[in-house]
Amino acid sequence: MSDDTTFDAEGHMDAMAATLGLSITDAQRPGVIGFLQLAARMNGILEDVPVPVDTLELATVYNVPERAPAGDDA
Amino acid sequence: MTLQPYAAAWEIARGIRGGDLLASDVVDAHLARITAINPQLNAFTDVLRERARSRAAVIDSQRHAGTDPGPLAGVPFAVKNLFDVAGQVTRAGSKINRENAPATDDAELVQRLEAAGAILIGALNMGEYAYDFTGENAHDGACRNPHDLSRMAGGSSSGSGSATAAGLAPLSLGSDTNGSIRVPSSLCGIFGLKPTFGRLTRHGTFPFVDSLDHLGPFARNVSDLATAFDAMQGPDSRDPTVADRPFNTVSAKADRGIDGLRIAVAGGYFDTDGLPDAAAAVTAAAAALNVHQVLDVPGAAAGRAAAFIITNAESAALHQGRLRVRPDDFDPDTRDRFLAGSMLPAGWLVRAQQVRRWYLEQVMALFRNVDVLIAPATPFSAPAIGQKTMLLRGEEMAVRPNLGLFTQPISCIGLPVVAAPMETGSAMPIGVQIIAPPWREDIALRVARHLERTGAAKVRVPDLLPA
Repeated sequence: MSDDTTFDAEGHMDAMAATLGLSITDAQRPGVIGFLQLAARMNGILEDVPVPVDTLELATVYNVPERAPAGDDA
Repeated sequence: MTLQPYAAAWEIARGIRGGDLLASDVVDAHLARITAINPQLNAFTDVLRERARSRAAVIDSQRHAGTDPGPLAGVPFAVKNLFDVAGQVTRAGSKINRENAPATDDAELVQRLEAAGAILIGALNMGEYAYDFTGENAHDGACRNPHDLSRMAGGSSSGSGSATAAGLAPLSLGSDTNGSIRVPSSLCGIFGLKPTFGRLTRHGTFPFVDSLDHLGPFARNVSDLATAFDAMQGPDSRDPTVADRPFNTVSAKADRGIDGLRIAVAGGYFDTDGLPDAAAAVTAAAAALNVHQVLDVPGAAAGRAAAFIITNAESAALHQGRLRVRPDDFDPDTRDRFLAGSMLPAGWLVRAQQVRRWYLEQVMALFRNVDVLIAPATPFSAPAIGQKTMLLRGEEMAVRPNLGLFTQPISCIGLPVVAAPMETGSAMPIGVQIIAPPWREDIALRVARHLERTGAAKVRVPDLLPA
């Protein structure tokens, strides 16, 4: 697994909370830090997956519909 | 004909269609049972007495006039309280949403079940905003397991699992984003179907994670599961994920047996070594199916990680406004997860969606050589209510994010799954996942039906509750 120990969950939380306008109370800090650390471990697993280099095929696919028939909002 | 407690939906419908039962009597019997038993379980959050009785009168009138009310004639059902019910506030397990205006229409799947003759009798408890595997809820209280009231029902469709296991509703509906149909099915010992992603419309339900949300039924037998599923299929342009595909009418196929199906046990990530409850369930299923092949599911751990990141990021974005102004009105157990999810780097989410597609390709290659995979549904039978951590192969882990570690990789890529309760001889139920290729719910139901018919899968009557 990729090394996720370099991820500073507490520092990240403080920076992002200020950016997003979120107030993190002392009671919430351990929980939020713990879940950020868990997410970092999950991302470490994802980083180790051998997806082909220089590709970006995402599971989210946006299908453009046909043009609406005349008379509808178009 | 006398209505027995725990009567199957097909028995009720047959009795009403044949003129041997009145829908009004069926509804009154279930309402009385809810009054007597629900205080112990906390499965229902809303009981719709007037609506149900009114609807039952219509069904009885139809029958009296010689009109067939449909394949689910007079069958009571209940829905997780994230389904819209006309005149009720869609609370989605939360405190905050209770301030919303009541829904003006029923969710589409509620309408489709009622069009088949079923009768909605109530809305059911759930984990807040569906971010849960436990069935605990700070606002409505924990939903309890009918087989042991001190234990979790599982979540997030906790009320669906508990109510159907306790005979309060022969059918119920829930949602499954990472395992929220399959986990309560396993812990409460009933059948549950998570269809293929894009099979059933989600119109009229409160979302959790658009990329991963599925809806599906719970029942006490495979026939009821199949009939409910058939009644709910169909196109709906209001949910863009619904695939333009022909119906897979499964109720006529479930009895076809398992001849010709290539079945394997999922190994690797799904290995049950060190998990005796789960091992017993998988062993019982493999024995009944005469399966000896074990196949590694490549990329399953990565699929689980992708589902985790996508869930955390998408759901947090949905709730960011509420998190900013009303954090204290969230259930503390979900709030901290949402707060963390709102802070994830965008690149993590993109990587998760890339890995999700890569993982789907790995599993589709596997399905060239196999038709069905058997995997554990949960690592354990039901933990105690209030239990925060669990020991998993010697490592202490949080219960809430990890009870679904075997279900999460399957819903990540939208495969159809039936959760089946296995008879292992232990005091508490536990289930397996019967996993089929995309759009082949019929195959998963055939295997479930075989397990049910041979007695390997069995829905038990809870000892604690009155018959």
